[in-house]
Amino acid sequence: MSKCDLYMVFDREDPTYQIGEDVVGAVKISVNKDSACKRIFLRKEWRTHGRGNRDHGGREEIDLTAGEQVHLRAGEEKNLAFRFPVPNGPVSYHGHYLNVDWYARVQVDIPWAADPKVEKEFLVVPGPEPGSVEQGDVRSKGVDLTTANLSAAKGCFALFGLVFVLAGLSTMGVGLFMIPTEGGWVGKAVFAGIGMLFTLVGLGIGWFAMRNKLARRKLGEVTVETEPRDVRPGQTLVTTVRCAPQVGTRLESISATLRGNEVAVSGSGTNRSTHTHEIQQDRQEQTWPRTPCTGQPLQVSFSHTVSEDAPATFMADDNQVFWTLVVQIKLKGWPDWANTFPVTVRP
Amino acid sequence: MISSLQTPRSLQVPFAHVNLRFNPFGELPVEERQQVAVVRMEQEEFSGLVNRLKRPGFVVQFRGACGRGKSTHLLALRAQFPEAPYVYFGEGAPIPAIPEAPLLFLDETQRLSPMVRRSLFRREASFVIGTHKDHARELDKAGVEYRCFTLKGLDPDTLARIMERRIQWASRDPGEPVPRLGEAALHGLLKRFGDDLRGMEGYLYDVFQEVREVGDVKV
Repeated sequence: MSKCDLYMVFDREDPTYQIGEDVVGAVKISVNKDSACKRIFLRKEWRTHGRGNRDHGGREEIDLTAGEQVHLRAGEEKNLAFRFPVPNGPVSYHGHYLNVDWYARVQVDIPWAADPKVEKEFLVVPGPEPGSVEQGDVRSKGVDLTTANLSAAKGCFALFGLVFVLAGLSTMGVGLFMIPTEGGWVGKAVFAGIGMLFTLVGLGIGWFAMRNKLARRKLGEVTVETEPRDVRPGQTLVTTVRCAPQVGTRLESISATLRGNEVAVSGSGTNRSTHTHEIQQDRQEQTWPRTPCTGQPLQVSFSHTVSEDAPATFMADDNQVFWTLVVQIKLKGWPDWANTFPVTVRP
Repeated sequence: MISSLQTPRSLQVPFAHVNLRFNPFGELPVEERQQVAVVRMEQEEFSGLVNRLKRPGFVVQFRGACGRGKSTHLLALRAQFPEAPYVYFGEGAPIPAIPEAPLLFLDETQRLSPMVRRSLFRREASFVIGTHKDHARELDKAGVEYRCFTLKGLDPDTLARIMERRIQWASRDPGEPVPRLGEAALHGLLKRFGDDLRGMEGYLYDVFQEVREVGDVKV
């Protein structure tokens, strides 16, 4: 038998609290055995659960005994009330691969014994006054998707591609010119084949890295603006794409795709798996007649409505809800221009 | 396309309608995996291993393919020795420093070079190892006492215990009924996945996302 039994209740049957309110409740402690306890405290934190490794955050402890030692006597019943402000996010979320929940745990700290404890979930929902709700680690992890970082990544890709091409050409050179024919054609063919493979992979990587640069030769500088900067469920995101195609450029289409995904990573090392679940995908496209451009600047707008029940952007180490906007300009007989922009959906 | 998500207005405590706290086949942290681990050996044998591991010069080897329960068995034994270090050797990753300790839990030891393993087994320590390859010859050469377990095959009774433990661990009110996997479901799983427990878990995660009532779950 445990030294005491704990029973927790909130002030409402449905433990849903809006940001801005207070979480109010009480814990009843029925003591089974005499014991001295160092303290009785409440710990609140958010945790993820689902397909990915568990993440947690927002941990805070509230001492329910004001730092004083308490002596628990057998047969005694104690009622301790608690009240704390509803955490300012992340809001509770129940998706497919990812769930985010808040937990309140009351623990009786008994020296040299297992601590009796009770834990219950409470649900956090946005308040009537939308403020800056903290959705995990959006600020530090969200930057991975910024255009600046994508450009930097593409610079690295170009360098990587160049290394592959040079390595491939060198290997081909060794195979074709340095291996003596008397040694047989097999060696030459193997070297030349490996060299060719490396060269092709390098050209592929280079193509990906240089594609937008080449496209800009025909399109001029491409600018993409989104309004508003952060969207809320039910709101419309207006995307404006501007460019100045050269005379004679043949545009095929301009498209913008708003995508929301849950991403959960499970396991570690070679057992690491990434699970992705699509929340929303909305692709809009404008096509062009076959007539070549006349040199006039071009402006196209798209409107994407974020669904009413869309989850907010959430970032943790192994669990994320992220939204992106992919803009693509297709040109006839020339590399396409494409870029991915992060979109922050606020609760 | 918009998937079915709960709006804040309809948000409810998760899985409460089926008396669960979370999807039983989601990812569990290491401490919880230790708690739910079902060991495929007699209690007496398990206790014997625990007792022998308290002294140096003994190796327990769990061998098997991916998803067969090597790490689960390691964790089950480790629950008895919470202070003992656990080291996982990732593929292609640099070999982490292996601490000096009287008992070590080492996962994926096939990724260590034979030389490293040889010097390890000569330490004044005991080991519990998970591996895809049999190290029996190396252990013989090192002159240590060892027990090898090959995790292969899965019978319906063991599978039933594994599944029941996972579901019970996720239960909200332990006294109330929860969804269960009946005999037909267990046979269906064995037919489809063989002894690949990880494959079953992945599949059952999706099944349990759709479970709407307590009772037998169809798979």
